[in-house]
Amino acid sequence: MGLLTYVAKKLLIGIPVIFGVTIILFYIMYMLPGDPIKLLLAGERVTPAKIEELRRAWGLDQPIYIQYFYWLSHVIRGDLGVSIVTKEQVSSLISQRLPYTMMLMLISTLLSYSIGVTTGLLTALKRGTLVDSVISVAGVASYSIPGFWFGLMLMLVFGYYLKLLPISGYEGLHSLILPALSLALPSSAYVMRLTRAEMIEVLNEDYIRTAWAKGLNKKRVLLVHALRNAMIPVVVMFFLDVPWLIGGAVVIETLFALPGMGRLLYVSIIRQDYAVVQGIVLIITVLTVVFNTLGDIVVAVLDPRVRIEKGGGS
Amino acid sequence: MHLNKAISKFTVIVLISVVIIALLATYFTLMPAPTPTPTSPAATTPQLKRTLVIAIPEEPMGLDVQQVTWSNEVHDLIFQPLVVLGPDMNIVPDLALSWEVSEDGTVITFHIPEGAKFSNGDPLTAEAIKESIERYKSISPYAEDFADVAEIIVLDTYTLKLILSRPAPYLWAVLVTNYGGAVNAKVAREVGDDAFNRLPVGSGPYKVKEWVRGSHVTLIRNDNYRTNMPFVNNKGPNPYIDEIVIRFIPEDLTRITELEAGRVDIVRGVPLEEVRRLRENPNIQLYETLSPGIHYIMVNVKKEPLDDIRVRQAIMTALNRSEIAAILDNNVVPWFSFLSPSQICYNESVERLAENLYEHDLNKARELLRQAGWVDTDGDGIVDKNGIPLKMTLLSPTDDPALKKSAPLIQAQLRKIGIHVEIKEYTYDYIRELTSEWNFELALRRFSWADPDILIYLVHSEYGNYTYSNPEVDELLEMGRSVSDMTERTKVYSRVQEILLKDLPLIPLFVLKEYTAVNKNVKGLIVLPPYGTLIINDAWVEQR
Repeated sequence: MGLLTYVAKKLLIGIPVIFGVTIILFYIMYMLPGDPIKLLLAGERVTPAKIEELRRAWGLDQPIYIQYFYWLSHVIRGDLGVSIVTKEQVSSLISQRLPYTMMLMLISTLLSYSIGVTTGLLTALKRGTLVDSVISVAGVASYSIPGFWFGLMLMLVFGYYLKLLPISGYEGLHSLILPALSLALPSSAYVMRLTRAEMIEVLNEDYIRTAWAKGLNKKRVLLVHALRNAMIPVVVMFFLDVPWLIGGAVVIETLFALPGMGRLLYVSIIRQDYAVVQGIVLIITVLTVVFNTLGDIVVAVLDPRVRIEKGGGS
Repeated sequence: MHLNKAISKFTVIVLISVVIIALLATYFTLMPAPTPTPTSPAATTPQLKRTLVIAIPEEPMGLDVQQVTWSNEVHDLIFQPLVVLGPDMNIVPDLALSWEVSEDGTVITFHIPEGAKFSNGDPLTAEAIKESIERYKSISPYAEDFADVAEIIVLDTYTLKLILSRPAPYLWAVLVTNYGGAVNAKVAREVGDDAFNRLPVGSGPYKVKEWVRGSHVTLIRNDNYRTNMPFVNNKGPNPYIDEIVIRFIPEDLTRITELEAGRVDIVRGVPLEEVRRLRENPNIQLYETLSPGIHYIMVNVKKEPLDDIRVRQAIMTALNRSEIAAILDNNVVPWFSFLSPSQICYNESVERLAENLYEHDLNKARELLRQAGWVDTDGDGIVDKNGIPLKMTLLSPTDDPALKKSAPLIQAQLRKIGIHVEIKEYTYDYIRELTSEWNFELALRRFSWADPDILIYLVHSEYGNYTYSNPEVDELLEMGRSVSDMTERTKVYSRVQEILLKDLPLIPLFVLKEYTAVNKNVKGLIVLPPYGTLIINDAWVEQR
C-alpha cells in the first residue's frame, strides 16, 4: 500500500505542474512577436480585411484567457485542436511523428548509457591511470562539442565520405544511428562522470571493505555490492533526462531531416502554430511528469530507505 | 526445275540485298547528324535512373493549391495552369489550346483540348474548370484574385468564357502560376476539403502517390497529362521519369551535402554562401533566374526626419549598391527602380533614368542633407539639426540572408554622410507586421510576384496600409489593374515608378539571383523564369 499511495501522491502533484506549464507556455506564445495569421499569409497580395476575417475564424480576436480556457476545455475532452497551418487534427499530426522521436530517444539512450556506464566503471576502477585520463579528457571534449556540429561531422564522415549510412531522412532504423549518436555522445559523458564519481565513492564505503574482507570474489564485490548502489543516481538521471533528450531532438531531427516530433515542434514554433506547439508541449510535460514518477518508483524499489523516509513512517 | 530453283535462290538473294541496302540507306538519310548534346536518352545511354529526387527546404502546408497560402515545387508538378509565362516572359498555352481576349478586355475565351483529363481520368472540360475557379473564389485565401471575374460561362464542352466586371490584366499573373491550375472540384466535394488537401487531383505532369509528413512527397507519372507548352518537345507524360520524390530538408548544409553525395538530383533554395563552391563543382550545374521583384528599404514617410524627401534622396544617393553586391558574392544585381527584369511591364529606360538620378555620390548626398538643415555642427561625425543628431533604426530580417548581410554595410555607408543607423534584427514576418503598423523608420524588405500589380499592395494608400499615400499613384495603380494593352500598361507602371522615384517611399537595393543546383546526370531540364519553375517534360536522369 505504501508504494501505491506514494505513486498516487506523486502523480497528483504532477497535475498542477502540467497545468502550470501549459498556462506559462500559452502566455509565452501569445507574447511572441508576430501574428500567426500574418505569418500564415506570407505573400504580399493580401488585403487587411482577409487577415481580420481569418483572425475571427480562428478565435484569435478573443482575449488570451478565453483562448486558453477554450483550448483547455477541448483538451479535457481529448481534443488537442486543429493546426492553423495544415488544418489537421493536432493529435493526428503528433501521432504520425511521435514514433520516430521515441525510437530516436530509445536508441540514443541505450547508446549513451551503455557508453557512459562502461567508460564510467572503467575509469573508476582504473583511477589515476592513463586509461582514466584519456577517457576523462575525451568525455570533457564530447560534452563541450555542440550536438549540432558533431552531427554534421558524423554526416560528412559516415554519410558523405564512407557512404555507410544515409546522410539524412528516414529510410529505416539505420537512418537513426547517426542522429542517435549525435544525441548520445554529449549525454554519455555526463553518465560517465556520474558513474565514475558514484563508483569511486561507493568503493570507499565500509561495507565494500567488509565484502572484500569476507573474501568475496572481485566480480561479486564490484557488480553486486558496489554497482547496485552506485547505479541509483545514474538511474534517476536516466528518468530526468527525458525533457533534455526531446530538446536535443528538436535540433538533431531538423539537421538530419527526420520526420519526428522535435522537427514538428521547431516548424510549428516558427510558424506560430499555437495548437500544435501546445499539444507537443503538453505531451512533453506529461512524459516528464510520468518519467519523474517512474524514476522515483525505481529508486524506491532499488533503495527501500527512500520510501520509508518520504512516506512519513508508514 | 533446276534452273527454276537457281533463279528463285538468285531472286531471294537479290531481294534480301535490296532490302538491306534500302534499310541502310533510309537509316543513313533519316539519322540526324550526331550532336554533342543528345536530346533524348535513347541515343546515348540506356542506363536511366527512373526516380528523380528533389530537395526543398520547406514542407508544403497542404497539397491543394486552393487551400494553401504559399505554394511550391510540389504544387507545380501536381497542377497545370491554362497558360504559362514562356521563357521570354510572354504568355503561352499550357493546358489551353488557345484563347482570345475581347477588344475591351472584359471577355476571355479559353479553348480546351478535346479529351483533356484530370490525373484520375475524369474529363477536364470547361465545366470542370468553371467549378474549379468557383471553388477558388469560395475557399482560397487569395479569393480576391478572381474578384473581377463576374461570370463564368460554359459555351460548350471545350470552350470557357470568363466575363470580367472590368478589364483585369493582373489576372494573368495568377493564371500563369500553379494557383491557376484546375483542381478536380468533383473529387474535392466527394472526399471533403481536408482529405483533398492531402491527396488532391489536378492535371499536372505528376500526381500524388504518398505524402509522408515531415519527410517527403512521392509523385508518380500522370499518364493522362497533355500540354500545349510550345517550348517543350514532349507534350505528354515523361517516359523516362516514373517517380519524383520531393524531400523536405530544412538545414542548408544537409541539403547541399545530399546533392553533392548524389542522393539528391535537384536542390532548391541554394544558400548564397554555397553558390561559389557549387559553381566550382564539376558534377553540378547551377541554373540562375532573376527574382521577379526587388529587395528594398521601406521608409516610414510619416516619421521625422524621413518625411523630408531630401533626407530620403540623400540615403538613396549615399548607398553604394555595387559594394553591397560585392559582399553578396555578386549574387545580386544592383537596382535603382521598382520592377525587376523578371516582371511584366519592366521598362529598362526607367531603370536607366533611376540610375542616372541616384548614382552613388557622397558629396551630393551630403549636400541634400545640408539643404534639409542637417549639418555636423559639433564635429562628432553625425549631422545634426537644432542640436538633435540624425539617428534612425533599420529593421533587418534574420531569416533573409541577403538582406541581413547588407544591413551592416548600409549602416556603414550612411555613416559616411553622417547618418547614425541602429540595426535591429527580427524575423522577416515580424518586420512585415511592424511596417504594416507604421512602427518603424527604415525596414529591409522584398517582394516577389511576376505582375507589377504587386505594387498596389505596397504603395497604394488603402490596399497597402503603409505610410505612403499619393492620389496620383493610387489612381495609376488602379488603372494598371484594368489596362489590357501591354504597351499602355507598361506606360502606366513606368509612370508609377517615375513618381515613386521622386517620392521614394521605397529605396531599391538589388534584384536577387536565385539558384537551382542540379546534378549533371539530370539532362534536358528547363528552369523557367521568373519563379524558376522546374519543367520536367524533356528531362531524364542518367545513372551515376
